[in-house]
Amino acid sequence: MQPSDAALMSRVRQQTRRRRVRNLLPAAGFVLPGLILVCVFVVYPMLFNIIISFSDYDIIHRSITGTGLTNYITLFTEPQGRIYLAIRNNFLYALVTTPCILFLGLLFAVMINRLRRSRLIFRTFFYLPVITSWIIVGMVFSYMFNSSQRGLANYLLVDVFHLMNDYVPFLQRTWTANMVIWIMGIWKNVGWAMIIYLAGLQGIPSHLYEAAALEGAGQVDQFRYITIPLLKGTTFYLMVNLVIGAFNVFLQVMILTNGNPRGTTSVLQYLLYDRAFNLFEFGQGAAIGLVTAVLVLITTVLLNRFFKTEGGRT
Amino acid sequence: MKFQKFVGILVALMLLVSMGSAMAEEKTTITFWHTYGDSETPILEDEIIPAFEAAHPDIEVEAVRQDGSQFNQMLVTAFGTGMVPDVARVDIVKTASYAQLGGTIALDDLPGFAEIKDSVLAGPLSTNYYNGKYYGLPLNTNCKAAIVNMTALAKLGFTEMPATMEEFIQASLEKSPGSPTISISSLSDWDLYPYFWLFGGVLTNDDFTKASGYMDSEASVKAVQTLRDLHDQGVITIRDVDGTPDAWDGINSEFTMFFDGPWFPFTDTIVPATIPTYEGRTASVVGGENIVLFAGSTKQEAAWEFAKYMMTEEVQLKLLTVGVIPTLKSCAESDQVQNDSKWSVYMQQLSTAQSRIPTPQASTVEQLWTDAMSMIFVEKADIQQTLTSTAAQVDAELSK
Amino acid sequence: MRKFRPGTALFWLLLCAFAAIFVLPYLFMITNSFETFSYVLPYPPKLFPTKLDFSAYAYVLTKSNLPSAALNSLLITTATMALTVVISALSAYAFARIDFWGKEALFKIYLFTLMVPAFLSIIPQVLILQSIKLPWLNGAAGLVGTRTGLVLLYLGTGVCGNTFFLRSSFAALPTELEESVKIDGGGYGVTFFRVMLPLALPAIGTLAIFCFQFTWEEFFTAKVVLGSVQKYITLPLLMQTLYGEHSTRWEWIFAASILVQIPIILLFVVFQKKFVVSGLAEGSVKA
Repeated sequence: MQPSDAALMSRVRQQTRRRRVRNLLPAAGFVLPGLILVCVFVVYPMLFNIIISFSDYDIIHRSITGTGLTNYITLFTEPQGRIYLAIRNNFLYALVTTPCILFLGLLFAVMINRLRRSRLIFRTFFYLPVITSWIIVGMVFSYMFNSSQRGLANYLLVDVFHLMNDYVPFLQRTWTANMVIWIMGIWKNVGWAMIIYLAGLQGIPSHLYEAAALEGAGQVDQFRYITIPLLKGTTFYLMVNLVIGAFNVFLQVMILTNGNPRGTTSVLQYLLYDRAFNLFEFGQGAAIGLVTAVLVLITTVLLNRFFKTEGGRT
Repeated sequence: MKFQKFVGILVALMLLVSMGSAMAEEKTTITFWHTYGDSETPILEDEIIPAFEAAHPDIEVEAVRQDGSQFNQMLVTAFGTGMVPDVARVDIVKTASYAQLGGTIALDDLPGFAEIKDSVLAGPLSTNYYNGKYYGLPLNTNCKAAIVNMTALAKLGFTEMPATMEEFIQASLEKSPGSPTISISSLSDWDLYPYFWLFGGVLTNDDFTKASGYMDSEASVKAVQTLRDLHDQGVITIRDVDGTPDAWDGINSEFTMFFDGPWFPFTDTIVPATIPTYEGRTASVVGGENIVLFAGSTKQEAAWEFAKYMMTEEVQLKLLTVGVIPTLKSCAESDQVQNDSKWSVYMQQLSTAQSRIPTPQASTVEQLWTDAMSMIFVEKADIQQTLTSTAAQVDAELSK
Repeated sequence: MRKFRPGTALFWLLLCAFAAIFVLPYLFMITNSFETFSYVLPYPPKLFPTKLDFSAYAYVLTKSNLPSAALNSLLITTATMALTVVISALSAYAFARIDFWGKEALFKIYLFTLMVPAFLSIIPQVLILQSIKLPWLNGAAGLVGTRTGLVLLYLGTGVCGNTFFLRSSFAALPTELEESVKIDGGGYGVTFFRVMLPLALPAIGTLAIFCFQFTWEEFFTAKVVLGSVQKYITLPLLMQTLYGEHSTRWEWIFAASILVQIPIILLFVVFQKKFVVSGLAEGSVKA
C-alpha cells in the first residue's frame, strides 16, 4: 500500500469518527428517553440479579453476602439434579415447538393468502389463542387433558373413537405431560407466526410468480424457489423469538404440572420461581436466570451462524 | 335578618371547628391481608371491622383480600420490596418459614399475649412456635373428617357410619369389588397423612427433629404397605395416580367416602362423620391459619390491637357461622359448637388430629414426601428403601 | 398440486379442520360459561352450549368494582400504548438512520437484555419505584401503588424489544427521501416527523396493537405494583378475585375471561385491515 493511501484511510476514519460523535447530540434527543428508562428499569435490575447470583441474599434486610460460585455449584451438583432436567425440557420444548409453529404458521398463511373473502374469519380464529391469557388457556388445557373420562382428550380417545382401552393420565406421566405442554405452546403461538408470515407473503411481488409460471414452474417449485427463500428473513426473526420464548416458558408448566412428576417436566423459569418464592433462595434463583441467559445467547449465536452459512437460493 | 345571618356564621364556624378537630385527630391506618373466601369476607368487612373501628376510633383497618394460590408469592415479594402489610392471616404451614426469614415478629412480650396463649387450643398454638418463641396467634383451625355419601354407604350394608375402618374395608371388598369406595386426591402430605397415621405410621420423634428411625420404622412401612395394598385391591383410588374423578364430583356418583375439611357443600345425603378407627386409633391432619405481625411494619401497636380483637370470642363465633372453626377453648366447649351436627364432628376429630411437621423447611419436606409417594405408588418402588432414603433427606432439612 | 387451490374440497376441509381444532378450547370456554354451579366441569365434556344461561356473565358484570377496574385497565393500557409508541419510534429511528458514536454497542446491549429473563427483576424494579418520591404523592410508598408507577415499569421493560421491532421497519424505508430533506436543509427532527413517521405508520400501528393487547392482559407486574390498592386494580386482577378459597366456580372464570377479551378481539378485527398486513411486511422481510 502506498503511504498516501494509508494517510487517506486514516483521515477518512477520523472524519467518520468525528461525524459520529457530532451526531451524538441529535441522536440523544431520540434515544435518551428510552435509554433512561432502560437503564433504570432494565439494566440496573439486571446487574442486581447478576450480583445476587454470586451471593446469599437476605430479602428482609436486603443484605448481600458474597458467596462466590456457591449458588452455581449447588445448582449443578444437587442430588436430584433438577436443573439438568429443566435444561433438557427447555431444549426439547424449543426443538419440538419451533419447527411445528413455523411449519403450521406458514401453512396457514399460505392457505389464507389464497382466500378472497373469508380471510378475516380464519385469521381471527387462528389468532384467538394468541390473545387469550396463558392462565385461562392453561386452565382449559389442564381440564381438557384431565386423566379421567371427564377430560375431553380421554373422552374422545376412549369413549368416542375407541382408539385406546384405558384412560391416559396425561398430566401425571412425564412424557405425556411434556407433550401436553408442547401442544399448548404450539397452539398458542401458531397464530402469531401465521400473521407475520402473511405479512411476509404479501411483500413478495406477484410478478415473480407470474414469471416463474411462464417458465413452466409448478406450484410446488414456485413455493420452493420463490416463497421460501424470500421468507428467510421472516423465518429467522420468528425463530429467534420462538427460541427466546422457549427458554422463558413458565406459566404453562406452573398451571399444568407444577414440574411434576418429580421435576421431570420442570423448566428453568419454574425452577427459578420455586427456588426464590418457596425456598427463599434468591441467590440461586438469580443464578438460574443467568444460566438461562447464557444458554439463550449461545443458542441464538449458533442459529445466526447456521442460518448465515445455510446459503439460500434467491 | 341579622339574627339569621349570625346563626349562619355560628353554624359555619362550628362546622369548621369540628372538621378541624376531626382532621387533627390522627388516624392510624393498618393494612390487613387475608384470603377469606366469598362467604367470610362480607362478615369481615361488614361486621367485624366496623365493630373494631368503633371500639378503636383512632385505628382504621384496610382489609385487602388476596388470592390464596398466589398469597405466598405476594408475601415474599412484599418482603423483598419492604411493602409489607401490618397484619395478615397466613397458613400455619408457612408461619415458621416466615419467622425464620425474619419477616414476622415474636409476640411473646406483647401486652396481653400470655392470657390469649392460655385460652387457645394447644395444637393450633404450636404451629406458631419457632426457635423458642411464638410468631403468631392461631386464628382458626380445621382438620379433615370423613365425608360420606349415605346412599352409597347403604349399598355397602351400613345404616350408619361404621365405627371401624376394618369393617368398611371388608364391606368394600365384598360388596363393591373393582369399584373403589374411597377417593384420595393427591400424594401430598395434606391428603396422605391422615391415612398414614390411621394405619399406624409415625413421621418423626416428639420434638420434630429426627425422621430416621420413625418414618422408616416397621410401623410406618407397614402403614404405607397397607395403603398400597388397598390401592392395588381397588378399595382406594388416588386421583392424581389413577386419573379418576375428583372427590368432590365423584362422591355423588361413584365413591362412598373421602376426607376433607368443613368447607365442603354438604347435602342431606353427603354428610361429615368422624373417621373410623383402625386398630383402635383414629387420626386426622390439622390445617388452619395464624395471624401474624410484620417486622417491616411501623404500626405494630395498632396491628396488635387488631390481632387481639380477632382472637376474641365474639369474632370467632361470628366466623363460625360461615364455617371457620375457632381456636379458643371456650368456643370449642360452647353450645353453639356442641349442638351443631357438623361442628361437633370436626371438633371431635380435632382432638386427635396431628399437625404436619412444623419446620421452616416445610415446603421442601412436603416435596420430599410427595416424591417418595410418587415413587412408591406410581413406580412401585420398594417401600422400605424409599422411606429410609427420604427420612435421611428429611433429617437434613430438619437440622437446618 | 391441486391441494393449494381454493375452491377444492380438500383445501376447505383442511382449513376448516384446523380452524376447528384451534377454536376448540375457546368453544369449550364459551360453552362452560353458560353452565351453573360447576365446581367441577360436566361429564361428558360439553363442547357446544346446551343452554344459554347468562347468570355467570350477570354475576361478573355486576361485581361492584368492575367499572373502576375497567377504567383503570383502559387508562393504564392507553397511556402505556401511546407513550410506548412515541419512545420506541424515536429510539428505533435513531438506531436505523442516525450514525452515532456507540450505536452498535448500545444496540447489542439492548439485545442482550432481551435474553436475560426478567423474572426476579420485579423486586429491584419495585424498590426503584419506591424510591421515587414525588411531593404530591403519598410519601412512603413512592410510586408503588400508583398507576403512573405501573405505566413507567411497562414502558421501561418494553423499550428494548419494541425498538428492535421497529428498527427494521425504519431501516427498510427508502433513503432518497432523507436525502431530499437534507438538501433542503432539514435536520433529523424534520426528517423524522415529516417523512419517516408517516411512512412507518403501519408498523407503528402494529406495535400499538401488540402493546395494547399485552398490557391489557398483564397480570403479575400489575399485581405486585397495584395489588394492595383496591381502587386501582385492573381487570386481570379483578378476575383473580373470582377464585374461591377452597373451590372455584368455573363458569364465572370463563365468563370473566371472555368479557375481558372482547375489547382485544374487537381491536384486532377492526384494525387488522389497516395495519397488520402491510406493516409487518416492511418490518420482517428485511429482518
